[in-house]
Amino acid sequence: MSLFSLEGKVALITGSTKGIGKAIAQRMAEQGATVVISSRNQDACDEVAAEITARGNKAIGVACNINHKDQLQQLVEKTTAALGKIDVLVCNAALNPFFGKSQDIPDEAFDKIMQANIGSVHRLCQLVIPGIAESGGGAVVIISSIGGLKGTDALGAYAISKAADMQIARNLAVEWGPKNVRVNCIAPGLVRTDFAKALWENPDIYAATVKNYPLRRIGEPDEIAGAAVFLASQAGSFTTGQTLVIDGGGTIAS
Amino acid sequence: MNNAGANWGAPLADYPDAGFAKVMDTNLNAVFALTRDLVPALARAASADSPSRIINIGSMDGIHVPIVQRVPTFAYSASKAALHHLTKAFAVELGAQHITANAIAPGFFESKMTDHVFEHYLADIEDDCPLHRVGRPEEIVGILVYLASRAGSYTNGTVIPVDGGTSISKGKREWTL
Repeated sequence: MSLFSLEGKVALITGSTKGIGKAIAQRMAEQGATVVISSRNQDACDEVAAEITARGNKAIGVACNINHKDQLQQLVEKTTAALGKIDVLVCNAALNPFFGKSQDIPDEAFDKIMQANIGSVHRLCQLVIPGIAESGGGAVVIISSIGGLKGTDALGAYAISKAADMQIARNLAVEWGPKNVRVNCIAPGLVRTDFAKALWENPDIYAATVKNYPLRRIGEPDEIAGAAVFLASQAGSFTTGQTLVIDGGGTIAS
Repeated sequence: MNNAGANWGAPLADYPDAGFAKVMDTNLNAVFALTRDLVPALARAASADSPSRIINIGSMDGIHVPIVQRVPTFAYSASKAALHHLTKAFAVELGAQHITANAIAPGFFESKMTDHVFEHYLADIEDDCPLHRVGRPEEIVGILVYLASRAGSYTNGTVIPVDGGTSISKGKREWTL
C-alpha cells in the first residue's frame, strides 16, 4: 500500500466547502479516506460532498458554525454516528474580519478572531483527540499561516491567532504523542482562495508579494493539500509538533 | 538529493582539527560544490509547473543540541545547522530558475551511524521523544516523495524535522532534574 494511502480512514475537515479546505478534502478522498465536509451552510457542504462522491470517492456533509461549542459537539457526534470514528482532524476554518493597525482594532473584532481561530481549534481538539487515541492513533493538522511567523502592522490579531496554532500543535504533540496522536501545522503563504482574494486580486499587492517570493508566484490550494495528505498518512508517522511552511520560499527570502 | 554524511565524536579538548575539517568537507563543502555544478542541469529540466528539486538531508542536531548525553559531535551539529541555512540560500537564489531547495532534519533513526548511541542511550532517546520511539526507514521516504512530487512544488526553503517531536519537546528528563 502507498505510504500516502488513507484507505479506511475518516477525515473531518472544517471550512472545507472552498479554497484550501476543499482541496484537502478532495485529495484526502482520492487517497481513500471518507471525508466529512463542513462549513456553516448545509447546502454548500452537501454540494461539495456530492462533487466528491460523483468521482467515486467517499464524503458526507455536516454543517457547523465553529464559534458555538454545542455545534462543534454535534459535528463530532453526527460524524461518529454516521462513520463510527474519526482518524484525521483538519482544523482549517478561520476568519479575519479586520485589516489595519493593532492600535485600531475594535474589541469585538479582536475577541471574535481569538474565539474562532484559537478557541474553536482548542475545543475541537478536546472533543476529537480522545476518540482518535482510543482507536489506536491518528493525526491532527491545523492550518496556520506564515502570518504567525513575523511581525505585521496590518493583520496583527490574525497573526497572533496563527502563531497560537503553532503552539497548540507543539503542546498537543507532547501531550498526545504517547497515545500515537500526531499534531502538526501547515503555514501557507499567499494562496489563490476567496479568503485571501483582497490580497491577490489587487495587481499592486500581488506584484509586491510575489517579488519577494523566490518562486515569483502565489500558491494554489492543491499545493497545500499534498502536505496535509503527507501529515495525515503513514508517510508522516514520525512527524509531530511541527509547522510546515509552504510559501514558495517567501519567509526565508525576506 | 544530498544524503551522504559523516560524523566525528570526541570530547572538546581532544577534538582534532582533522576530524572537524573532514566532517565539514563531507556534510557541507561537498554539498555546496556538487549542487553548484549541477544547477545548469537542474535548470534545464525545470519549468514553472514542474520545478526541479534540491533536497538536503540535515539533522535535528542542527536545530537543537539534544539533551541525550553522549560523545559530543561539534562538527556534525555545526555542519548540519550550516546546511539548513545553505538550503535557504539556494532556495532564494534559484527560485527564479524554477528550482526549489528544502532540507529534512531527521531525529534518531536506526542506521550504522546510530548503532553505538542506541546501544548505550536508547531508553533516554525514547524518553525525550513524544512518540517514545526512534524512526523507521519509510518515515524518511515519505517526506522525500512528498518533496520530490507535484504535492511539494510550492514548498521552498524549508527545514522539515522528522523526529517524532523531539526537537519541540522540552524532554521528559528535563522536568525531573
